[in-house]
Amino acid sequence: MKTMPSLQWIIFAFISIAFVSCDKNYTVFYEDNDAEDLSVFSDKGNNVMSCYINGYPFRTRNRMSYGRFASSVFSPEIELFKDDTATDSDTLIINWQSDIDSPNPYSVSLVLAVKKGFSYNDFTAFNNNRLAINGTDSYFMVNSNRAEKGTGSIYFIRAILMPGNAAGISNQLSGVFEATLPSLKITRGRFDHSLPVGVGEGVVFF
Amino acid sequence: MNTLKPRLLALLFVLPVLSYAQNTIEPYVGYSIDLANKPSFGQANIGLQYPVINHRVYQMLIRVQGALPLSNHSGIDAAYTSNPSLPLNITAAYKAKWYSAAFIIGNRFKLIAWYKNSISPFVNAGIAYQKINTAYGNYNMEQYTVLNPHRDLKKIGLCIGGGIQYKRNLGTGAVFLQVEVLSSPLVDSVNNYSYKLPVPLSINIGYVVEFKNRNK
Repeated sequence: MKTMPSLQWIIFAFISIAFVSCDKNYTVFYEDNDAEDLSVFSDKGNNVMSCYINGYPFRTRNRMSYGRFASSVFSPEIELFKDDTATDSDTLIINWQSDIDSPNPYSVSLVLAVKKGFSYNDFTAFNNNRLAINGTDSYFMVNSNRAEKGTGSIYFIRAILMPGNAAGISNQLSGVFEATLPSLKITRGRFDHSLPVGVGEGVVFF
Repeated sequence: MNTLKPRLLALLFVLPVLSYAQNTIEPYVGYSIDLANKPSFGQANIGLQYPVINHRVYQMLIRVQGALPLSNHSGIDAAYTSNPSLPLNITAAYKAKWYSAAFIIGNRFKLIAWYKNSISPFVNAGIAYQKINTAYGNYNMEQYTVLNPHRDLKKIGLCIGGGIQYKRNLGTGAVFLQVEVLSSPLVDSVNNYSYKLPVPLSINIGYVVEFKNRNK
């Protein structure tokens, strides 16, 4: 039998390694016995949001890290942004995303009017607080459609953001919500996320 | 259930052949406690074991067993709402019940015998189904959501176990007492959210019913 030249072996090994994936799933989905196809309401960092939209179940995509040779791609289910372009107040945007190829809707967002200079401490003040969403300066939206602003309410049983995970406390966001949009009704919403900060695999961008 | 079908079909072919070789059948009832969860679950067993090989010292048995809950877990979880017109949280009471079933093949060896008595250890292997069913009492589930709720657990898989039987011959038939432990189904523990897979420790009493060999 002919032996393969060593250069060919090296190329073969290089291509093999390049295709070896090192994917990691950070989401844990436990179905709620009392709500078909929805996750349980938890505060354990399961990294999932689910709800019914007009009676149909919606859930966020899995938080994934797709590792490839010499590179990785991070795909979170939630992202938190702050818009500080206005002069008198800031806006906090919490954006939940489903799979890009899943049927509509592909995202649910909460836009919250917050004070100018909104900080991690202000975010942590949401902890164990219930907010009424008025549908004007604070609102729910679906598929980033600002033409349809929804009213509703949200309860944060956990809302913790501390710089550098101070005191060893995990950054976390979990709670329940309901919303009514002009053409949609969101019911029985529940969410539970860990909130890593920073480049690479962070979901907080302020 | 699809995983059970090939095994059940195989049994249909085996049983007619074996039925000519045996002359006893052993119904039993008993009680099991779960060694894995604290506080422990309890259940009442009913089963039937049938020696397909019935030598003086060694017996191979097939066995079916079912069990229903006797002692339940109960507790209270907190449920929350975002609706500002309602109280922030309420309590939701739950109950958890343990059900199980098993099909087992056992190997029993007579270790000690004196007068009408005998002691026989045995080892088992088979398929076990374990279910912990949880249910919440009435609460407003349209408006409230239970935080970290207790969830059902259902698993089916291979199991192994062992125990010891004391038997006393009554002339026509015999009574027996057997203590045994059976592993939980040997499956991955993914989704074991609220409970561990039960590991039953059982004590059963039964009667050996004798009947004549059909091929004698």
